[in-house]
Amino acid sequence: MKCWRCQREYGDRDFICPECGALQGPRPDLSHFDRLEMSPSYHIDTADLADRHRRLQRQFHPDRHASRSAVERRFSLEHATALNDAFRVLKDPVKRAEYMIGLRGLDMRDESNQIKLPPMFLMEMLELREALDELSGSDTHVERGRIEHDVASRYERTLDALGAGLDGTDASIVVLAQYAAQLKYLKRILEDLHALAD
Amino acid sequence: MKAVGIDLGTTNSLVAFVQNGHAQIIDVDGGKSTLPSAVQYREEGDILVGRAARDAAADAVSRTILSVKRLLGRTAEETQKLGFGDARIKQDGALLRIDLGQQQPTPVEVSAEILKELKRYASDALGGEISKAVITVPAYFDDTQRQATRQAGRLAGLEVLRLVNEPTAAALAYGLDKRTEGRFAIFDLGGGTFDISILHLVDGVFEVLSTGGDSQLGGDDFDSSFAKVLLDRFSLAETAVSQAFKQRLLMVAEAAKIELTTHFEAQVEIEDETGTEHCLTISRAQYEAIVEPTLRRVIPPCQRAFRDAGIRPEQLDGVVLVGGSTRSPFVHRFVADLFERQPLSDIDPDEVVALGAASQADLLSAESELRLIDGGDVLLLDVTPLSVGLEMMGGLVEKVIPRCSQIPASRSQEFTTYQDGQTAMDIHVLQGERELVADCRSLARFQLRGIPPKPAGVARIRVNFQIDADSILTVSAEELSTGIQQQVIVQPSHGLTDEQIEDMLQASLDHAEADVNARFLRTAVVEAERALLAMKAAIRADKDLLTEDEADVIAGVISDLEQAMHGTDHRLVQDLTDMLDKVSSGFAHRRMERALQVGLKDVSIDHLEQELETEEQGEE
Repeated sequence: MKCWRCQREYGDRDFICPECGALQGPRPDLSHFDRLEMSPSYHIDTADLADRHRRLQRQFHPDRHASRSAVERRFSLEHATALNDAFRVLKDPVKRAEYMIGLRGLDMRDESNQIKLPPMFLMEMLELREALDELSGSDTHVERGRIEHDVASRYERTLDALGAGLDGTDASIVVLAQYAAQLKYLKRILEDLHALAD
Repeated sequence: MKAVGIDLGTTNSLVAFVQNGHAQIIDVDGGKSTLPSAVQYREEGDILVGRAARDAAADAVSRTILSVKRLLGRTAEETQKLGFGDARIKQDGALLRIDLGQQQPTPVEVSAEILKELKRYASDALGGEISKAVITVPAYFDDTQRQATRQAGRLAGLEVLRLVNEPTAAALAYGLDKRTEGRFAIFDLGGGTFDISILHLVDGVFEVLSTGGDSQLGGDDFDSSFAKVLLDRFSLAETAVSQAFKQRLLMVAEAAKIELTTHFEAQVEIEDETGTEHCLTISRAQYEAIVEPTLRRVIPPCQRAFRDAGIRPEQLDGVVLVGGSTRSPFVHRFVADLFERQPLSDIDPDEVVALGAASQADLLSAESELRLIDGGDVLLLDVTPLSVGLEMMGGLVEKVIPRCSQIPASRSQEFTTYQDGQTAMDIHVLQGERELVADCRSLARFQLRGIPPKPAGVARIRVNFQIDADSILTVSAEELSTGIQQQVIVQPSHGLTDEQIEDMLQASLDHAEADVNARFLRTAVVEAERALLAMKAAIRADKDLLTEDEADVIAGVISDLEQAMHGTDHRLVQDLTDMLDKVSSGFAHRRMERALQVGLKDVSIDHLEQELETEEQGEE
């Protein structure tokens, strides 16, 4: 890496040029895990993640570089933005899982990558939807609570399976993507249930 | 020169700075800590700011602007809808103007006058021109309101280092003082705005977990609720009374509110325009019943803030009260019930925001003092208060960055064309939580042109949103196959452009600004005139209550003061005005007693005196 100001070489881990002291821009090639200095794994300690985010923001946040040059201030904004983005994705289990599937080469957001779900699952979702429609209106909070409990525990089980698959070596990328897609369905149903409760 | 922290408030503004490792308030407006956010454009062409403007004689009310912060970044139509209807507010193209006859200032210009006044006092106190400041804004201010605040700073000749959210600034003042750790809610109810923020303080980092509020709810609303009830009780129709009377009624309502923070009963008296005397005794309980519906409006934003933060009230380590309206025992009790704990209020709720802003100003300076202190080197990590997004087909809003995202933040979204051969795309940027375009705030519209004509759905357009550390948005759009790019720093659809601000700034520099001293003198003289007028009237009315010695001393001070008013020393005028108040305190006390004995039928000058009296006590 070359310093943008004095053109000297600097090390991979440096963000301040050892020669002239200039703040360097963020490296675009880092994964979210690299950026927060963690090894890529689904099972992470979220308290540790938050600590790392805070510690790194202390180094890079624009408030820490307010009296530097305009170029360096822009770099610090870019660093802080990238750190916030990495933290946002990694702290959420579903986003983290989707991101890890992406790292393995399958972009879940790309609609051309249609993920086929088992017909059995889709059928069950349809039935759940119907049950939900029947709920609204009358005083059925016991029934709603039962459905919510079922869906929530299923959501947890699917997430666990996805996490185990991501950290293991056996599961294929297609199976992992299916779990992730199922989570989306389940999450939407949970949100609708919460909306009903409100 | 040092950077200062400014709390640009709806009713009062303050300026503070850090010295010897401590944030402290700079005296303004004749030795007070607060500068009323009142601006008077005088017929003579000059401008008064502060108490002199706020306590304007009745004939100057039409040239006085109060609570201008409520107009910042708004259109005339919006102010009508929000109920700040003021006959002087006009829409002039993209700009809201306040029509005062000769002058038609915009809210940005009026706010800049307040900032200039604060800057003058700060420069005077610190012995050098102040050019850098951190200005606080309600956490719930949208992009347009933030831009307008920045522009006002610019127009006042200040480099705005950072806009800091008021509750976050308050937390900074508390955290620095107490070196606390844990989760805290900051409940900030000011004159015109309500903010709630939930923060996590750990290892010298202030991480905002969520923020919410109501940018149109404050102590002023208690006064207007109460004033409405008073009109009703006095059998006066709202349409039949003048703007000046309404203004007086609001002041009386405010005085009663302040009285009721320390007393269980307050008297309301006012003479209407037909000369009829109205009088009412109100108990604290009655008053609380009147304002409770208004206060309950804080509940939904609080609930949402907890939901967004992902915590429950019992997980909090404390609740901090900020803003003058939290002085009320009713508000205090209400918050204690709502959060199930006794709130903290050990730092003056009026000063805490300015003190926090001063700390942040120091931390952003190259020669920061706080960074060198153990525990003083802290960092604020804030969130964006409102979601930003784009208009989609069918008048729906697609959120690109949701509210409570940590800032700075950046997010991209890809879109495609919906017609064959489409070569341009309209990009409409919106802010707000609602689904429909019509219910959100329109921030900007622009068009990306030069898209290569292709079948519908083939072109790929990426729109990027970047929110900086001031919560200000930049939007850029790019057609990916050709790399045609367009960047827009979101300019408020209704506001001044940066060019207009620069022109105005240039114009004000050209018309070389009046000497600072001359300005202070004018303010002091207006205050002195008012004090003299009241004193002379009092002597005429109750001469028999004066001892001979007293009369001599008072006459002596009056004559010195009148002489000083023709001189050039503003401090002398101020000191003599204060002295007049001191030497006549015995007389004032006896007059008060007589008024109470005589009953409440007395001449109107007594009412004026009493009103002034209550008001002054409220400020202490």
